Amino acid sequence: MAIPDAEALPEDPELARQMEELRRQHLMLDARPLPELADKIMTPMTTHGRLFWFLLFLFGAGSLMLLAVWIYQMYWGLGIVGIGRPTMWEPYLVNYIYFIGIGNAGTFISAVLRALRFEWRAPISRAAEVMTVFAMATAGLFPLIHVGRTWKLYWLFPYPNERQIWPNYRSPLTWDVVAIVTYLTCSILFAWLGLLPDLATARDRYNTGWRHRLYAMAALGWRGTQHQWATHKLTLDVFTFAIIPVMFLMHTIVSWDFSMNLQAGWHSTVFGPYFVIGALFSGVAMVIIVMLAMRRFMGLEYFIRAEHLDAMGKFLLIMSFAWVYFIFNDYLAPWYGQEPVDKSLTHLLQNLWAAPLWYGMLFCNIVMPAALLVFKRLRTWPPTLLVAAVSVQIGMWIERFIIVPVMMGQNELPYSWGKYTLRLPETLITIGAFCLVGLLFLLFTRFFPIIPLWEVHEGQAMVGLKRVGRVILRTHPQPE
Amino acid sequence: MAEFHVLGLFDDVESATRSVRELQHLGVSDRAITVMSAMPLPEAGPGPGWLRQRGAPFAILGALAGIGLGLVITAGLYLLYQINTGLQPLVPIPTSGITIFELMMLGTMATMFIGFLIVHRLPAFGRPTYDPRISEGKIGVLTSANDDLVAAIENALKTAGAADVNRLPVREHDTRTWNRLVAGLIMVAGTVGIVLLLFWYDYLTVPLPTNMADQLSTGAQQGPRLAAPAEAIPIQGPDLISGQPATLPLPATADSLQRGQVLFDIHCALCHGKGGKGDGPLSVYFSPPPLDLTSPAARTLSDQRIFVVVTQGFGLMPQLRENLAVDERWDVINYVRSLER
Repeated sequence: MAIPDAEALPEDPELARQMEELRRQHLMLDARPLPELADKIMTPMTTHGRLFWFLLFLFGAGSLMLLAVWIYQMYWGLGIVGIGRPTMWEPYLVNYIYFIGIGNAGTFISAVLRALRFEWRAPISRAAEVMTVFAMATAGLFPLIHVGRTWKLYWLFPYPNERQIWPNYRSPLTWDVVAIVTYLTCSILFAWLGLLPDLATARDRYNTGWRHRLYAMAALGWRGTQHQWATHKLTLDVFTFAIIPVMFLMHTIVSWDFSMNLQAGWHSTVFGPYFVIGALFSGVAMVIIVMLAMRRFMGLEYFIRAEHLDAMGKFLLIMSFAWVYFIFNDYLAPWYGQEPVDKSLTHLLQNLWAAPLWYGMLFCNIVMPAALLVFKRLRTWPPTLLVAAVSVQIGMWIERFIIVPVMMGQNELPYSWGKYTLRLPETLITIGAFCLVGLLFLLFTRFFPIIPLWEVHEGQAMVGLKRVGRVILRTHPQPE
Repeated sequence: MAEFHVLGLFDDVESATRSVRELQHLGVSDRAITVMSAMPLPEAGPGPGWLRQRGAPFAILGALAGIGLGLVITAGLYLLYQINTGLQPLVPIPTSGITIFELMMLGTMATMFIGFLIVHRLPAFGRPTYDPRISEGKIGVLTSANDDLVAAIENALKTAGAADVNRLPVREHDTRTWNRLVAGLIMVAGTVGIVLLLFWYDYLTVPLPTNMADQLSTGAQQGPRLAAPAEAIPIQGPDLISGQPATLPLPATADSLQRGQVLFDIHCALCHGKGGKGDGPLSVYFSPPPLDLTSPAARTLSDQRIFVVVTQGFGLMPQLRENLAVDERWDVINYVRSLER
């Protein structure tokens, strides 16, 4: 196969220097033979360092804690968490929005950037897709935790019964259920489809043993015939364009859960795009965290380079600007209207007990990204990028916390205003949910190639260099 | 005449493409040539017309199925279980549209995936005609041919620069793994189903407190409840406010009592009994039994309360607003009051 790497460096020392510099910077220009790429991707799957076992223990213990606290809560009732009138929605719903938000970015990076043919996304697209699946699955857990008596879940379905409960099937909550089922199913299929060729490579690499059987089964008999590749591309294209509206609608529907209520702070037409942008904001930050962790702990520096950190850093910065625009929109109209209930809410957020949350959110989501990501030197240095991404995570969690229990406690009836305080069970379950996502992702990296081998290989084979006078330029590949 | 697969492995695209051209010269049909590689190589195959892409029909079928399912769980359920929508349409278009759209996309994507598997007859387990070296970067050119052509094909592949040429017998499709997988899935699903049924029919029970009031911590539900302000209007409407009649009662004249008796025997006696003792022929089927209208509990009910119960129904008692006109209800109430004496 035509490997650009096989071409020798030009004899002219200046041109050779330029070419080496380009190869150092760009993954797609620094082509390696396929077996070497496969080695780089699949060796970390079977090498478990001390850190791996530590993380496995940590995340495993956290996930078990989630389960234990959930069972405890089921037994003793939802009264042990800090809910009560008027704040009947508590951090379970905060986590629900938060994890769905994280799930949005995976598809955005994978599908939208694929549709636009941004080749730099190739090495991080699978990590983003997989994170989508696990975050969505964890998000789907929270309504189950939130209903309290989970084993009575079937009461939610409209069937004729003796209790005369015929739930209203027009509720936004049913849109949620449909959206989650659709988005989760399609995300799993999308990730699996992209994984097929790599599973075949893994199947051929491990000739015997359980890994061979696992990959042979999961690869479904992929052989890489041109017919298969062509239909694979077609199917991926359909998924790419079909999953984008589903992704946008997913978080819009979550926002409609709120904005369909006549609740101050929620009843806003800008909530749909505001939530979508917020979701992408926190999700891109989470992809950055995952990307940095993979690069550092799995030795994938070859695949995830400064160019990726740079691109994702810029992306996060743009999302921060977009988020500022939307939150200003969401703030301006109620402030201008000066409705009594809106005024009381603004007062609560700016001057009363919720002020630290509100200013903390603004600091984490605006000041930190702007300070750390504007300059390229800082943006491409992993520690600063990590700090910015973690700060956005904190800020976005606070944002959802303000939207759910804080705003819910400030309704039109001042006699029933309430202040929600975090109690231990929901805190532990929240921590456990983060551990669960970490655990699932960690286990995935041990069983499946986390870098899309075939996409990187295809990108490297397609890219070319062009000499114009004394300069070497890269030609932009446009695989049809 | 035995049939063989001939698999030539090439190091680069150029020689693989050349070999395909030479095979076509030999008279091998395009459909008998398969080019396998670790990355898409559209230019190496025997021409784009050979690729049959059947995506659109699958996508459209899936989308239609999704729309159908969406209609069932929106409009179908709304019409099946009609609730009071307060003069709003029974099947609201915007909200139904959201669900239908989601399921349309789900149908499209799921069917595309299934279609992808069907077109390639996947999953194909076992060891198909393939060489693991293809995933190391080699390009495989696979030809199926009868034995009179095999030698010529092998020669052509070698001349084109194949690194390795293998003759492989045509194998039967291996269905063993597939069968095992399906059997395993059925067994797992069956086991889970049986265990769930054991729970369902109470052979296995988990002593979870199902009633919220039985739980230790009920938080916000714990009393004391505040009394409603004096001017507040009860949710049943103004007819329950003491001192304000639901409608104007009829005086208990002999005519009224007589009409009441006739109506009571028709509409009430079946459950409450001819004498109002709660012992009508149907009373044995109810738990709790129909109220004894001569009991002290019934005596304490106000006329307005009885009127509301007859109008709206109560517990297992159906509402009788369609059976009895307003005056007729007062006739029945007069008659019931006369039974108590």
